[in-house]
Amino acid sequence: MAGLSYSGVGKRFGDVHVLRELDLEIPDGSLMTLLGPSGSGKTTLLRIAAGLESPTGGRVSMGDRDVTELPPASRDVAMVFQGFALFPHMTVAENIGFGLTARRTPRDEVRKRVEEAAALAGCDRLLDRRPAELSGGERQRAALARAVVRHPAVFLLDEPLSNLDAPVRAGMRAELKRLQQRVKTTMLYVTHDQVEALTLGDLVAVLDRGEIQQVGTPDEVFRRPANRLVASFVGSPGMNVVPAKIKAGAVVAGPFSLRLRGLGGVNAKGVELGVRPAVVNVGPPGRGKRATVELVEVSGEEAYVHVAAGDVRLVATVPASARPDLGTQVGVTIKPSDAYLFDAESGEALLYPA
Amino acid sequence: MKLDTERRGLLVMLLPYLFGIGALVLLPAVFTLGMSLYEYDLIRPGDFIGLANFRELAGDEVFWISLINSLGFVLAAVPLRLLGALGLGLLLHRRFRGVGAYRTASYLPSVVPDMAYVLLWLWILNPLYGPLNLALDALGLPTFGWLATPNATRAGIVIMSLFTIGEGFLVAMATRQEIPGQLYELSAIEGAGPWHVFRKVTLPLMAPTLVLLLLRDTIFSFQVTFVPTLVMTEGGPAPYATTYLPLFIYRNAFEFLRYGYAAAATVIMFLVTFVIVEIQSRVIRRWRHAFIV
Repeated sequence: MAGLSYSGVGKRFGDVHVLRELDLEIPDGSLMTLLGPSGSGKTTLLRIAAGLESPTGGRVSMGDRDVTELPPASRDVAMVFQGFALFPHMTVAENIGFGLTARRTPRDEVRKRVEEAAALAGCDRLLDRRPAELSGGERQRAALARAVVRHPAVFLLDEPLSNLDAPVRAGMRAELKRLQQRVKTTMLYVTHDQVEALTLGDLVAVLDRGEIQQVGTPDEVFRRPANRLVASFVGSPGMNVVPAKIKAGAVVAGPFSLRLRGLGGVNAKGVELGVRPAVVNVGPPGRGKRATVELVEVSGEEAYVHVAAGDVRLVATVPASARPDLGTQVGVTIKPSDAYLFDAESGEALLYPA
Repeated sequence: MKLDTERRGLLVMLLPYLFGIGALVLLPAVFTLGMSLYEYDLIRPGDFIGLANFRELAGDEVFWISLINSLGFVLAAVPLRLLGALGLGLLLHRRFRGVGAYRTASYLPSVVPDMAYVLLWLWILNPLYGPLNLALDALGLPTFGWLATPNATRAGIVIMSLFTIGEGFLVAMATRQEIPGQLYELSAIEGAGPWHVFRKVTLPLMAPTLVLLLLRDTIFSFQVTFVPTLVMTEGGPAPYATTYLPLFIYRNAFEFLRYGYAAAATVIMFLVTFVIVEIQSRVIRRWRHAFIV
């Protein structure tokens, strides 16, 4: 058991910086999700921990071991790949036991540990089957069993659920969390799915363009995003962020004028107003600011209503049963106590809701 | 209705192939089978003599020498050719500087016309001034009487055949490239050494293709000795050190004008090839659970 930490780790391919000297610390025994859009460098970061990729600079350590120069086999990590990487010609049992056999573990012990791991991952009845005879979820279980069988110090998972159908994915997500809580092994979990990142992680690290944007608990990342990027990437739909001005002690964006607490201390050239779709209130016209409904997306019990108030475009989440019709006039209100303020230039968060 | 149109389309597309295989393979094969029962010299009408040709073959010392020579060649050349194709495929499947040149060099001998290839080797294998012996001598290694002593000449013909493995190499390389890189990354993380990975991952996943190459090469190897032995060794050193079945058949048909007898030898060569390929595939099928998905 050991934590995983990166210090000053960078990765360059020629002139392209995939990762820029970043520091990241995953405490021993915790599950960190690494969230970022595709191309953000999150998989590269994971592969550096596995030893499949070497960093251009910086150190990687596990517990008090510096593993930067170690080959993958000596790092005591296990990895679950996006495509599961099961050997098609081996049974599930042979797949799970592959690492043990390669390390010349006695046969009896291999069998015992394979059975334990399979039971833990819920694939103990599939041991004699081959990957071609398994469903996506079953393959996932086999890959997980293979990861836990060696009791590695660190688990590395590269979008392990993205190849699964949506209903299976939700179930596996919960199981993965339970599994991690039982084995209490440090886990770094890469995903581009913010729901997965928030529900699964003890900690969430948001990565974009090779830089860590924020590290925090799911709650922190959601409620107190460090910058505009985190705010719009986390949450579904993401936060509304619109250009605004500070005039006479209030934040003004189109027809909206909000007196935010703490605004006096703000010293920025340009600002942007942020507000979560769930707290944008859409009511009958006459109440709040006049706006036109431009688009309505219904997603089960919720509807995402796109409205335009002057030149300010916002998305509001409303119950599907209470959604307005397309093209109608509505009244939109935003409470000052729900608003975020961002620096227009740097994107840094300046004010959070009370 | 739709199926019928589809079937008709398939049939139309298959026809040229069916015609070709019929006219160039099946018909001559049936003809050969028939001819093996005749005494026929191309001039007089043939005499039906039943199995007399086969009985004569059984007592023909030269035929037995040819058959044993052929089996020896297949036994030596096929495993080595397969190893060569696999080795080159594994060496050159990755991208690295100059890999294109290596791949071209590996394939090139296979596109040289047979006659030119054999003439080239006639020079390479020359015991006195040929580069092979000169190179061996320069390295302080023993030299051999290529084209002069029976065993060295037979070995020379095997060596020649080891460079025309371009197709096998390409197929092996393509098969290796098809294996997902993740499986190797996983092996590295799981701590499997190179030999373990080769035996447990690469080889089993390439096995279906290697089996195909083995069977194909076995069939091919029964025939491949013809041009070298005809042009380079003329079946010698005397009397019959490199007389293989194809040359034996050629001589009987086109030099001794014994078409029926040559046809009978062809039928035997076919049967021997068939039996060996059948044995191979039975053995492989028996062990298949260990390899094939």
